[in-house]
Amino acid sequence: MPPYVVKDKCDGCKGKEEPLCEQICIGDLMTLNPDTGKAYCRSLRDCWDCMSCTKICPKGAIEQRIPYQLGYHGAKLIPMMGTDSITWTCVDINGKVERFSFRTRNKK
Amino acid sequence: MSDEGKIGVYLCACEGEIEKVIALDSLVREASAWPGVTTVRKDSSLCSERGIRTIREEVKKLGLDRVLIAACSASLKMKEFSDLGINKYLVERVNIREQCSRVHSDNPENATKKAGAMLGIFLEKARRSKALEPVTVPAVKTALVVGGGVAGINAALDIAGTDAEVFLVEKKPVLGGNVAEFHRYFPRMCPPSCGLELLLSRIESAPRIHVLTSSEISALSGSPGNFSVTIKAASTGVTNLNEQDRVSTVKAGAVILATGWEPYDPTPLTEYGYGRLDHVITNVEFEKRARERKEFLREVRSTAFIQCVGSRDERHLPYCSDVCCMVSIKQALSLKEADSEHDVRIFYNDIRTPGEYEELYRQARKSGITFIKGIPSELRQEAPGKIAVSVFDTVAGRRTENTVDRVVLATGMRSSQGNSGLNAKIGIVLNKNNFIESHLQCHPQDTQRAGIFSAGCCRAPMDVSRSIESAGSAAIKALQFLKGEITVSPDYPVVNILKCDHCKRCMEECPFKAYSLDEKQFPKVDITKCRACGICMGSCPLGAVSLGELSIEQLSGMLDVLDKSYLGDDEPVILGFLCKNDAYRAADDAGLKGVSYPPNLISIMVPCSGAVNGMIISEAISKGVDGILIAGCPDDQCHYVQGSALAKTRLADVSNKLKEMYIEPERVRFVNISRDETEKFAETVKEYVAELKKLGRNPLRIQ
Repeated sequence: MPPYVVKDKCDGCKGKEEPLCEQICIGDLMTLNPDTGKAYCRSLRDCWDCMSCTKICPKGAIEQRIPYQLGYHGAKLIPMMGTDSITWTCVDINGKVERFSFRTRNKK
Repeated sequence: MSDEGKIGVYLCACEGEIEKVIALDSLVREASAWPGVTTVRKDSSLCSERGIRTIREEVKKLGLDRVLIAACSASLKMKEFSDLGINKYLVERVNIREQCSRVHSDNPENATKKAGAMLGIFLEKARRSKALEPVTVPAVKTALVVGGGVAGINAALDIAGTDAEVFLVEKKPVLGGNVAEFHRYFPRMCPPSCGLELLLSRIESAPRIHVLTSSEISALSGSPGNFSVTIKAASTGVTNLNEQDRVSTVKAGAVILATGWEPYDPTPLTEYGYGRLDHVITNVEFEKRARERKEFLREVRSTAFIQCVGSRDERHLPYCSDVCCMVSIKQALSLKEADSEHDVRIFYNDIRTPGEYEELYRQARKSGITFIKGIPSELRQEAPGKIAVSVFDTVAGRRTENTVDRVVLATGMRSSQGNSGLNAKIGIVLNKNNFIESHLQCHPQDTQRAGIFSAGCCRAPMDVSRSIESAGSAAIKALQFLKGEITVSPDYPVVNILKCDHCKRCMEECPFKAYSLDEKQFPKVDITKCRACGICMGSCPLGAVSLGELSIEQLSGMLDVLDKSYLGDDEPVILGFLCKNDAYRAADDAGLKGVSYPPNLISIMVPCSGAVNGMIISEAISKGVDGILIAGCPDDQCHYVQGSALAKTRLADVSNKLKEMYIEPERVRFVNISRDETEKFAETVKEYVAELKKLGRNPLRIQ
């Protein structure tokens, strides 16, 4: 399921030519709408749900809907990045919340 | 955590003040066991000559590569601890007096625990610190002064008094500016031909001043110390009609803007009939005519002055133009001097003659000038050469009708039209009244661009004497860039290009526009423009920007080693990021002011609240810190223009994220603390601790 950009939160990385989500997207799907100055996914069905854009967005403006194979409607996966760690919050369809923190390999 | 290194830990008892509360001996035992710590020593007074000598000797003898000093606040005793025989960036200060023993004296046990936790995190910070040396950049010994009025001329002369060269650029064909056309200066009533001509002859004879008249600056590039300024000389149009504008480039180490003022055009104030009624003139026209013809002062028998024309009026100039009261009194006195029978009436709201100028006002009162408190609502042409001035006299409480031969409108000063263009040309920020300003009370001479200063009326309305003063202060500031080299403290940020993704957010958010792109399109800070506020460090979504004295890696490491249960499992732990200028110092004062706050807060000094990166806040929460408190200056007092405002937005982003994660968004908080709001700070911490206790432990905290 493709990424969804919350327009109120997205600041288009201050309107510069290539926002972070565009740079990180391995499929080159995210881009900036020149009219609104906000990011969007230009080909929804090509998204592989890697969540790179969700992780990198400094404004927390990109939400990811989990593909149905992993969790049905209501399930959520929310990443929060630190400089050397990532914390995942998983919410299942019953609303059960679990959190996992990992070290990342971002060199200090 | 690396266990290499030779760290010396020194704990100060501060003549018993710290030891009275904190069990230093147990801290000594604790710290001795930490990896990498070579020596731990307690001293009764580290800042004493003996204390400093002890540290210096041990640094040498044991070959220490880091020194940790647990004593008073880092904002005190800076000089004493800057020369320990080791690079001062390798010396870390832990504030166990102002922010621990003094404020937690009611609970020595917890104070000791907090001191231990503080020692732990700052030891980690010290481990990751780097030796830094000031950087010296070559600079040109040339100044550029824009505007050849009284401020510009004085600034140029002041600078040329040293061994620096000066280019003085004036848009008109002659130097002298507005005052050159005036009749008299106040308060000594000498004509400009006396003072100004002296200055002009000095300019002419000064070998190092190059005057460029009929010229304007059209572009500015480069950095402080090495600006490159494009100057366009207007074609004369006389000798050769096809002559194009001549363009030249000047290298300058510093720039002084003295673009001056222009009189406010009173035409929009239709009630005064300027341009419509005969014999209604402005105060500037009065000056010019009185200078041109001596008879001007005797031509009529009665004159009315109307004050505050355009000034102190929301629809025109919201500010007081500072000089008009003195100008009208001066002009009224010259009328009286020419003819003591001349009927002079001054219509005013408030007469403002500060300081010595009160003498002028008293003189005017004595000489028989009539002062009427009330501003006329309308002027009418009663008869040819006669103007009716109807006014409600608020002192007498009745309407008075006056018929005069001439009306002088005391029009205000507005910043020269050139100012608005300067913004686009050289990136100067103007305030809401179009004057050039950075931080009026602390750095009046500065603009928001390093190496560019302002003097005279382009900064604020001022009279001749204050213009000359401002020129002198701007010249002194400029001279610091004209020494042939500029020494920059190594606190400036460094971009880690391995992490940078070219998003340019640092460039966008830098309040001083210190960033540009290098040849590989990575942002690069111009160290001479940078003021080391760290807003770029806070802005980077990838944590790729670090300040010399406080890096992202240091902060991250400190979060790792912080013992999140130093007060026990049920007590919340708050990490405070306090702005160096205001909040940190306000917190330091708590003990002296007799207020205390719970020991649940450990604070880290940051150059500006805008330097705190969102990733660091997220990381602190993920690593189990219960609450984050960022304290910055009140928004309009921020020394770095927008630091507090940016910190607020970044915290809001983290707080939204926490909400999504089903973690209480209250775990991050921003508070504005000004330098003297110690009580507010203590109150905030108390409330926050109580609130966090109610919320319970951070779900991400591992037991």
